[in-house]
Amino acid sequence: MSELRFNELRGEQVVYAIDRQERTFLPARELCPLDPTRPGGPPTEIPFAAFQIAVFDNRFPSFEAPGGAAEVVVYTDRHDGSFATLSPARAEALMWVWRHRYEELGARPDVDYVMIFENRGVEVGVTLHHPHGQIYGYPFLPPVPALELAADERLGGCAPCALLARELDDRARVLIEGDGVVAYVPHAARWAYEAHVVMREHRPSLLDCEPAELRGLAQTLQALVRGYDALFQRPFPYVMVVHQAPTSAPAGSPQTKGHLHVEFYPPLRTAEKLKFLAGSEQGAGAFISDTLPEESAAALCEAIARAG
Amino acid sequence: MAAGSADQPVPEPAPQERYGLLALARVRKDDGRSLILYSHDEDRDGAVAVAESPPAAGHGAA
Repeated sequence: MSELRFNELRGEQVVYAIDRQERTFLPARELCPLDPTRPGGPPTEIPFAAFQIAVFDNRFPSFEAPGGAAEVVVYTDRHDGSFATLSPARAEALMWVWRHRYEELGARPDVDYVMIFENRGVEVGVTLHHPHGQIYGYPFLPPVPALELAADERLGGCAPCALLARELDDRARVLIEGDGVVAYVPHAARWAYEAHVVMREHRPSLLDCEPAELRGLAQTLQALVRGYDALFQRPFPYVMVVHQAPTSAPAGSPQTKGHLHVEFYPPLRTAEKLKFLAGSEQGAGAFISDTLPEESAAALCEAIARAG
Repeated sequence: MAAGSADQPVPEPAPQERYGLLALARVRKDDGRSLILYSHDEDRDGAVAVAESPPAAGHGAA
């Protein structure tokens, strides 16, 4: 069981999950725990020889009931590939899996915030290469979604709605414009190739989306990550996080705050160089970027077009 | 439904629920952890079978 300690100077919870120190670290391909269990092969987390999408409780959880949840989402039984290489139908199905997990985990009294995410690449600490993501059910509201709610207050309404309107008006950083979903590099991006994928309509969570919007979200996410891979013609590391409404609203009361969007935080600032969080970022909380969002957006637009 | 081991395989799980485009089968792993298998039709014509093979013991990490 993990332990929470409140860091008074930062005003935030720190999670101690010391069992994770022993988690599987970059195993040999034939020992991948996310592969299916093939006859005669080693046992894995999924005891069947084939599957499409699997979700299971993390063996080394950061959170577990009755103090939250930690799940693993395996996108495919194929060891190679990535979210970008899934079939369109599989990517769309994954949106429904995300929605299902948000609904089930969010209904639990010990989960105040559901965060769906994917870490891709050893540059961001990936320990297993098999295409997969994770879900944390936090037993508290973490700082980032709390800041988003504060932005709503500051802007006098839904902040992502307002920021999307500004981006569509400016157009200098828009990457993909679909019927229901827009992707852009934000005006004040922290990372060189940060991108946000935002629902056009005010949708607090995946539960509020129409099926066509979920399909559009999958299509836009895949177009973006394929563009990322084309940008430097290499697998592009990133952290992808789905931002949604907190789930701590009293039962039966509609949760209208929050706006479904997906943020990407890629650590690369060039094909070979990483952005490190160093003195200013860690000590002062002030990001210093070497690139302008408009220039990054232009490069990404070209890469997305090239990836087709 | 509990997952079996290599020595004591259990039948493959049949879908028990529907959710949007998905069919779900819930499995309880040997160590008590939850496993959900989601299936969908790659051609979007409806749900398909969930798993296709004899199960074996599970271990691993993420």
